[in-house]
Amino acid sequence: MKIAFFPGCMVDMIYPEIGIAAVNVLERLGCDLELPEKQVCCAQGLINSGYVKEMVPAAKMIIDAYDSPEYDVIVSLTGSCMNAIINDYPIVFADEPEYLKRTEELAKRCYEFTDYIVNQLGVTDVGATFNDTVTYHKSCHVTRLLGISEPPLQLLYNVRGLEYREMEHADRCCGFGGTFSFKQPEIAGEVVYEKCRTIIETGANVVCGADVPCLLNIKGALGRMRSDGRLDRDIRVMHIAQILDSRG
Amino acid sequence: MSILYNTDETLRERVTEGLKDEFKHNAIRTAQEVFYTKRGELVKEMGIGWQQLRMHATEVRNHVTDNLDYYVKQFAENAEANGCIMHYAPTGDDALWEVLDIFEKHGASYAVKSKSMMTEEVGLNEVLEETGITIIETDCAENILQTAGSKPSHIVVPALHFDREAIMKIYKEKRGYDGSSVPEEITHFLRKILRKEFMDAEVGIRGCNFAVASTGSVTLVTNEGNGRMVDSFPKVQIVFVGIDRIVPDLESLDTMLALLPRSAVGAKMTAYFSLDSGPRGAGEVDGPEEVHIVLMDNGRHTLANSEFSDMLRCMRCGACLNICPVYRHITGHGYGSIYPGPMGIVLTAGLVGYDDIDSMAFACSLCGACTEHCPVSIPIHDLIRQHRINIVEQGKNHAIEVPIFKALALMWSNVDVYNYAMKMGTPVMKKLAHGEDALAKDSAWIPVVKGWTSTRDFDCLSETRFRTWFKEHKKQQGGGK
Amino acid sequence: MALGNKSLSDLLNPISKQLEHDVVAEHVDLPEWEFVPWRVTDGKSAAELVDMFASEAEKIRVQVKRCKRDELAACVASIVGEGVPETGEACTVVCASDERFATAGLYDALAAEEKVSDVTVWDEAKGQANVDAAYVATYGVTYASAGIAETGTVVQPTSPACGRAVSLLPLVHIAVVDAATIEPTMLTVMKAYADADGKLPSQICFISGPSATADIELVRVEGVHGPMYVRYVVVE
Repeated sequence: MKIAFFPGCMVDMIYPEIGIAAVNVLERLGCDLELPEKQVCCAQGLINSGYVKEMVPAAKMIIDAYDSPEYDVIVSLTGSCMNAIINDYPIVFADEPEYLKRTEELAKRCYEFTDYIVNQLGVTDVGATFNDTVTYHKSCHVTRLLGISEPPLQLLYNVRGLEYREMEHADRCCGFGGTFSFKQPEIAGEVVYEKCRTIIETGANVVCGADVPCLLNIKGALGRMRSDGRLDRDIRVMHIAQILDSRG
Repeated sequence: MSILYNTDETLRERVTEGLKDEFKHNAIRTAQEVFYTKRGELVKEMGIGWQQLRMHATEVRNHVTDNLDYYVKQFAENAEANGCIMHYAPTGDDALWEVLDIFEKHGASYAVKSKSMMTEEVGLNEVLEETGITIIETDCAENILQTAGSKPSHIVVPALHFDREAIMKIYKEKRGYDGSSVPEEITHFLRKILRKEFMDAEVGIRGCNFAVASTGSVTLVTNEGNGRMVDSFPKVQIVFVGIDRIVPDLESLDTMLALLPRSAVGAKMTAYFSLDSGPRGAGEVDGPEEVHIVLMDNGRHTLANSEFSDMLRCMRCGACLNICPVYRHITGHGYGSIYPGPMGIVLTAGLVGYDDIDSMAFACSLCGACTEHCPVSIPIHDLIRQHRINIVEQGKNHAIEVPIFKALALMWSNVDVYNYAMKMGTPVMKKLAHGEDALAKDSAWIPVVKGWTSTRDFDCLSETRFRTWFKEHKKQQGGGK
Repeated sequence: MALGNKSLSDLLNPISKQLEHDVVAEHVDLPEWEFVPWRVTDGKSAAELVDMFASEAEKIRVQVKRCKRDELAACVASIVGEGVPETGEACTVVCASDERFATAGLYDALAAEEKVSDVTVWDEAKGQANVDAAYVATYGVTYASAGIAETGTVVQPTSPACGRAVSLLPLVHIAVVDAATIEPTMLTVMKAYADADGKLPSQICFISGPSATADIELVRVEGVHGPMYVRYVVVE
């Protein structure tokens, strides 16, 4: 079984450690991973800002990179990137019947990281140990739009030493929303501060998630709150892969 | 047209202004929590029936939309057969003309009104007041707004941005109230002063939640009873009906009513739901002697058979507002439309187009909570995005952003350009961050970036790239074998 | 185009055009619906529905009394006999004109109550005087045509024998409802109206609890424009 790994551009650009952790976890479970050379970014920021035509070349490149007979499945580290392929590309390829067909075929072989481990590999205990208090942000794309709610929690429950603390309204948006957070910073700021307050209220030392962009947003807001005195302790922001890769 | 208001301010100005009002901000958040929590309990109680009701309501509403001309006609003919006087208003101005005509024919100058979005949409109050007609809003919140000269901040509880002290003061100044600020006392004062007005008014003006095609009936959902007062005592009644309010038959009312109050305020039913079929019958001593139905389109037909046709299912419950992470902060006032929140973005842009809505369509993180909670399964966040796509296609976007998105499109579709940008960008970013790991507040002068760093830190590009590590990693694996 | 005076065709034409319909269809059949929603009342017996009706009504702050048919007059009289709620002052009553009330001896029983100073039985011949009586009345008594178990609702059609004012203007609305007429949901009530021949009453009001608002700081206040108190008398 050959896996084409889809880390998402933020992992490549900003958080390679998340990608490394995910590779470790999957390889430990016996997976054989490849990273298609030409893949860059799902480019969802374009359609979400209204730029559909402009998105066609980037979307084609993703399909060309991943739609190859040498890959059996695609595993994505970020729910929103996978959602882009499944739910956005059909709109982008409205006038590209060949790519549309390939996208539909490819979509059937796409899995989100935690969903793949639990529902495809049938593993809920990856043998991790993580001695700390953890809360999980149920990101919109993973939870609501892809409908993956149980797998991440099942995996976290089985991590030794981990004390799980549910935050209030865990499935509420963190306010990232792609270009929304640049275009409407006042609103996005309010939304993420509120998300941070619910995280802080859990008393957990670590907040994790399965969508990298949310983590960038939450980390940025917690950092700002820490530096201007609204937060008086360090809260680590991690991808769930990093927790699953942890050995105590 | 008065769907939009405060158009001289930008969305950003309205939002910034609104966020300063801590009372309003908290009030709307609290309302969201209350309605959302109550709704959640009722939905749970209904078990699988809830999703089935949603799907059934969706199929019923879709059927009407697909045959909208037929059902509008059927409703109109049956309402006329019930003895209602029909007025057809393809536009809002037509509706205003018809209403003025009714007042003129009766020589009427005094009307009571129960909350109606359609009348807001055409700016009825302003027009009537200009011609010297007194029109009194009778819903408590609407009366507060009218007395204070303010606009709704919430679709269901529109005067939530005023605290009790402010409301007390408004009535002290304008209506001679001399009681305390206790909500019960103020409300009972309103009961007293409005009662007389209901009895004396010559004309009652109301909206319609659902119009029944098979029977020509109109309906009204209220809690306070002002709707019932309006449709019981004035001799002349004017009912505003949107062409998107029609359901095929009486049975479908049950489906809609099973969804509407639960979705709107987390109640199984409102105190009153009235089904009206024509003027008072022979031997009846109350109820209107004359019922005028103003059947209004005002741009709705353009949504049919379009990418926004799903929006014609909307029943204005406000569930999408009550879950929206943006609405809870910017409140109804942020949007600058009488239709705020997620449904408001879709409907407003659908009805008025893109020229005057500023960045309203972008005041959304596309989180999809609205879609998940919509009782008639409107893919609201997809439709908001569709508006964005149309805005860009029609060249109504900000010219300044176009090169940025073009550059992103180029970088994301070409791995060499991307690699080059990363190589150039990494040290620049590190420098801007003064060697730290993230861009902090002091970078909030840099164009584009400041959008982010004005409220949050932004992690720098990594000096090691994942793809470089992976290549190395595979090489080592290969070497090991 | 000039404003106003538009015809139905003026309204319909743009809609038909948008839908790509050449003409408005003569007839459209309802499709076979794909979804038949499950309801909490499904499978409940008549007795269970009556219990549900009573408990749902209590949840929306309606006081419910249950009585036998021959206790109807005494039961309603015992409510109005308390006078004005909270103060206990003398009160007036407006009452629907109904054979079943007359047979039960309700009108006499009401008039016999010490704290009742006046009883007005709705009479179409008296015209506006009925409404004037209701305007000042403490109690309005109606005979509901049905009850709805799911929501604790009473169904109140308007008629020459019972105007809209009876259940709307008085401080307290007392709705008498026959247990035998309690339906599971609004659906069965609507079906019955749909199946019946002839014109619908000019108004059918579905009443679920006292008139209420939460418009000021979300604080619930009862008794806005309609009754402040609602009482049901369920006749079994």
